[in-house]
Amino acid sequence: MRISTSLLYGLGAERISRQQAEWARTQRQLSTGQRVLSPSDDPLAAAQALRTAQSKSLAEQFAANQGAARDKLAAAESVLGQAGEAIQDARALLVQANAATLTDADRAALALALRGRQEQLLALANSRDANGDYLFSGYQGTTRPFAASAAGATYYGDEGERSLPVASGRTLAVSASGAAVFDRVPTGNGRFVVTPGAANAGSGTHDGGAVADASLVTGDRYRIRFAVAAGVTTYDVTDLTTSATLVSGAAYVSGRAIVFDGLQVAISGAPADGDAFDVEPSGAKSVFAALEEAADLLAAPAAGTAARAALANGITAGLQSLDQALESVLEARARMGAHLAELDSLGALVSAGKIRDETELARLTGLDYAEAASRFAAQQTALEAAQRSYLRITGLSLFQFI
Amino acid sequence: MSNSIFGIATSGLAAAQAGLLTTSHNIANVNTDGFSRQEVVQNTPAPHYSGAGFLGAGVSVQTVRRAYSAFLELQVRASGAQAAAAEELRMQLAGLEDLLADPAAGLAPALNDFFQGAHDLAAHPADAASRQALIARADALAARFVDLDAQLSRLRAGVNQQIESVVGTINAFAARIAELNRRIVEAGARGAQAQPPNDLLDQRDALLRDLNREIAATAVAQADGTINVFLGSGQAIVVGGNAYALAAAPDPESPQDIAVGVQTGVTLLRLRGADIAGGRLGALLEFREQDLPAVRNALGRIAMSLAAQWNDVHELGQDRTGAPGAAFFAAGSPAAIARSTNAGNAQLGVAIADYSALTASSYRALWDGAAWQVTRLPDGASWSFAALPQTVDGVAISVAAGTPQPGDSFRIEPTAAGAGSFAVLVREPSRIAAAAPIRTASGAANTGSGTVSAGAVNAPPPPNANLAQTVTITFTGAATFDVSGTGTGNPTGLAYTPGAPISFNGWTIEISGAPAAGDRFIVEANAGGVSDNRNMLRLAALQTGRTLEGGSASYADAYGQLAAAIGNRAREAQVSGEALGKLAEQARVAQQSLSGVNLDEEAANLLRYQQAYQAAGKALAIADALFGTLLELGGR
Repeated sequence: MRISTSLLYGLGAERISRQQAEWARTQRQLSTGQRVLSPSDDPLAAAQALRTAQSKSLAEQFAANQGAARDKLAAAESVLGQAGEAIQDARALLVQANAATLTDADRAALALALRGRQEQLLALANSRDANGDYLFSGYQGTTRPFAASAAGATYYGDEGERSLPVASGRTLAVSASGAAVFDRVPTGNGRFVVTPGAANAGSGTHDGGAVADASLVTGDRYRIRFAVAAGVTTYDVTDLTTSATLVSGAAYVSGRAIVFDGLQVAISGAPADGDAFDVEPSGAKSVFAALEEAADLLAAPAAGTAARAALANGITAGLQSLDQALESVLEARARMGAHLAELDSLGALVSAGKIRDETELARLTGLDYAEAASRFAAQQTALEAAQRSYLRITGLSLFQFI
Repeated sequence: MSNSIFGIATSGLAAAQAGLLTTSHNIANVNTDGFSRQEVVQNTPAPHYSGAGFLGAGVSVQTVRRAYSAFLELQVRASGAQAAAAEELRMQLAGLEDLLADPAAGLAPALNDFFQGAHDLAAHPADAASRQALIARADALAARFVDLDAQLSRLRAGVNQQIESVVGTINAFAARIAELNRRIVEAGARGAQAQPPNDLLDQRDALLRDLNREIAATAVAQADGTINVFLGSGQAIVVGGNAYALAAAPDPESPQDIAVGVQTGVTLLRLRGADIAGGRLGALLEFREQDLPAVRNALGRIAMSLAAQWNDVHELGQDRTGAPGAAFFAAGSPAAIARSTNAGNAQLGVAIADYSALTASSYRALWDGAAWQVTRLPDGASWSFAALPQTVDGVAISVAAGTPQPGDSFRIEPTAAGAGSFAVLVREPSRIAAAAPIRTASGAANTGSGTVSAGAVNAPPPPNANLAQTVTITFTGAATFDVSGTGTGNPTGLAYTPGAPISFNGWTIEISGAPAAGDRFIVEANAGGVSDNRNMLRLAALQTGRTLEGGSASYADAYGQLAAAIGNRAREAQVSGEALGKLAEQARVAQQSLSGVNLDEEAANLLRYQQAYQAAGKALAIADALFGTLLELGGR
C-alpha cells in the first residue's frame, strides 16, 4: 500500500494530539477526583448523582434541624426541670405550714416564702431561648406569655406547638405551650375536686378524695351534707346533677371513706350540723393562681375550729394543685426527654443516610485512583512511544541519500 | 538510419523530461490540499516497416494522468459530511452540557441552597437574619434561572450567527464550483485532442469536499466535464456554470431565528434540520430546532412550576406583620406567536391549567379552515379540535381576539419564557409568610378528652374572606356539635366523627378523642404568631414534592432528567462523532493511498527519469558518433 507523505505527517500529529487529550483528561480526573467530568461521560450516573446530592443536602438539612430542635428542647427541658424544683419547694413549704404548732406569724413568713417561689416560677415560665423568643408562648414567640395579676397570672400566649422536620417523614414538636404546662392545671386530684362549704362550722377536714372504681364515675356533681342530732353525726350524699339522693342518714365515722358512684372521700374531725362538702369534676386552674390562693390562705390569721379546718382543707387543695402542676411539668419534661432521646437515634439514622449518600456519590461519579493512576502511566508510555516512532518515521527519506 | 536514431533518442529525451516535470510537480505539491498525484502515460508510436520486420519509432507521451478514483473521492466526501455534522453537534452539545452540569453554574446547587434557606427559616421563624437569608438565596436562585436563560439565548444567537456564516460559505463554494465548471469547459475545448485539466479537476474536487463539510451535497457529472451539485432534498445549487445561492432570512414563525432555504421566485423553500443529510449546517439546524428549545422549555417549566406552586402556598400563609402572604416569585408567561405571514388577525391566548401535566415541548396550532390542528414539536403528536378553547398537556389554548384564516399558524411556547423573567417579588424579610393565618384552641373549661389539630388553610389561594374570623365549635353532646362564627352559617347539630376533617371559612381542622357536652374548640386568627413555622414547613416540603411530570418528579428530578437527556445526547454525538471520524479517516487514508504523493516514490521516479534522460542523451551521442564515422569516410 502506498503511503501519502503528507498524510503520514498529518495523521501522526493528529494521533499524538488525540493521545495527549486523553492523557490530559485522565490528569483532570486525577486532579478533581471525579470519574464523571461531564454528564456525557456517564449520563445515568450523572442524573443519579444529582438526585443523591439532593438527598445528601436534605440529610444535612435534617441534621441541622436536629441541632436546632435539640437546642430548643434542651433549653425548655432545663427550664421545666427548674420549674419542677420550684413547685416541689413550694409544696414543702405548704406541708410545713400544715403543722398544728405554727403560729399565725410563722405561717405569714411561710406565705412570703411561697410568694417568692411563685415569682421564681413566673420568671421561669417567661424564659426566652437563645434567639430571644419566649419558650412557652405558643406561636407568639415575641409575646411575654405570663403577666402577674391579682389572681396569680394571666396567660397571653396560645396553644400552638412549634415543630421541625428532623428526618424524612418525622416532624417533632420542639416546644410546649404555657397553656398546657402552667395555665391549665387540673384542680383537685385530677378527676374531681372536694370543696368544703364556705359556712362550715365544724372541724371536718377532707383528704382530697380518690377514684375507687373508674367504671362507675359519672362526672356529676355531688354534695355530702352532715347532720348532728343528739350527739350522733350522720351524712347524706345527693347527686346535684340528677337531684337523686344516693346515701341517706349514714352513720359518720371520722376518717372512714365515704364511697358513692365510684368516688371515695375520707372526712376526719367533727363536722357540725349542716356542714357540707361539694364534690365536682375537676376544672382547670393556673399554677400561679393555686400558689396565690395558698399564700393568701397562709397570710390570713387562723383562729378557732372552723378557721383551722378551713386552713387544713385549703392546704390539702393547695397540695393537690401543686401535685397536678408538678405532674404536668414533669409530663412535658418527659415528653421533651423522649424527643431528645429520639433525636439521638434519628441523628444516627440521618448520619448513616448521609454516609450512604456519600458512598453512593463516590460510586457514581468518584474516581478509582488505582485504576486512574495506572491508566495515566499507560497513556504516558503510549504517548512517548508515539512521539518517538513519529520522529523515526518522519526522519527517513530517500532524498537524504541522493 | 541515424535520422531514426536521432528521432528515437529525442523522443526518449522528451518523454524523460515530461516524467521529470511531472515528478517535480508532484514533489512541489506534496502538501497541496486536494492534489492528486500525476503520472506520465507514454506509449510506443507505430513502428516503421522494413524488410527485416518492424523497427520501433521511439516513445511518445500520450497524456498526463492524475491518480484518481471517483468512488474513493465519493467516500471521502460523504464521510466528511457525516463527520463534520457529528463534530459540530458534539461541540454545540458540549457547550450546552457544560452549562447544565457545571457544579458552580448549574441549577441544582442553587435549588438546594434555596430550600435549605426555607428549612433554616422554618427552624427560626422569628429570626430576621434567617428571613433575610431566604430572600438572598431566592435572589441567587432567580439569578441562576435568568443567567441560564441568558446563556441559552447567547448559544442561540451564536448558532444563528454560525448558520448565517455557514450559508455564506456554502454560497461562496457554490460560486467557485460554477466558476471552475466554466474554466474546465474552456480548457476541455482547447486543442483537437481533449486532455483532462487535472489541476482544475483537483481544485473542484477539493471544493466539493469542503462544501460537503458544510452541507451534504451530491455531484452529478455531465458530458461536457462540468458537474451539477444537488442538496439532499433535491435542490440544485450549481448547474453548469451557474450557482444558485441559499437564502438566510429571519424565520416568520420565530423572528429571532434565521431560516435557511432555497429562494425560488418569491417563495422560500425552507430547509429544516431533517432535510439535510450531513454537514455542519444540518447539525446547527438540528441543535437549534431540537436541543436548545428542549432545554429552554424544560428550564422554563421548572421555573414556572416552582414560582406558581411556591406562590400558591405562600399566599395561604401569614407574614411577620400579620398580613396574608403575597406572591413571592414572578416567572415568565406562556406565549403564542402568530406567524408573520398569517392572513387572519386572530391572536391566541395561552394559560397553564395544570403544571403537573406540562411537557417541555413547544406546539404549533394551525387553522385549516375547518379545525384547529395542534401539533406537539418536535415529536409530532397531534390533536384536532373543531373549536377552541381546549386544553392540551395542561396548556389551555383559546382564541383571544380576531378571526383566523385557513392556513394561519401559531407557535405556542408554554414554558420557554419561564426562566428568563424569574424574579423575587418579596423584598421585605418581614413579608415572608412563614406562619399560618389561623390557630386553634380548646376551651379552658373543657372536661372531655377531645383535642384539636393545629388546623390548615385550604388550597388554592386566594384564602377565604372569613378565614380569620373567630369560629367556636361547641359540643352539645358526645356525638354532636354546633358551629358559630361569621361566615359559617352557624350550623347546629352536626354529627361528630373522631378525626374527621371539619371545614369552614377556608380552613380544615380535625377534632379527635371524646369531647364532653359543653366542650368548646376555637379557631381564630393567629395574631402575633411570629414563631409559627407551619406555612414555611409546607413551603419547604415542596423541595421533595413530586409536582411535575404527572406527579412523578420533583424540581430537582426534572432538572436531573434534563441534564441526563442532554448528557445522553452529547454522549451519542460523541460516540457517533468518534465512529464517523474514524470512517472519514479511513476513507481519507484509502483515497490518499491512491492519490497522495509519496516523496520516496517521487525520489525513485526522479532517478528513473534522470537515468532515462541520460540514456537517451547517450543514444544521441552515439548517433552523433555514427554520423561522424560517415563524414570521416567521405574525407578520406
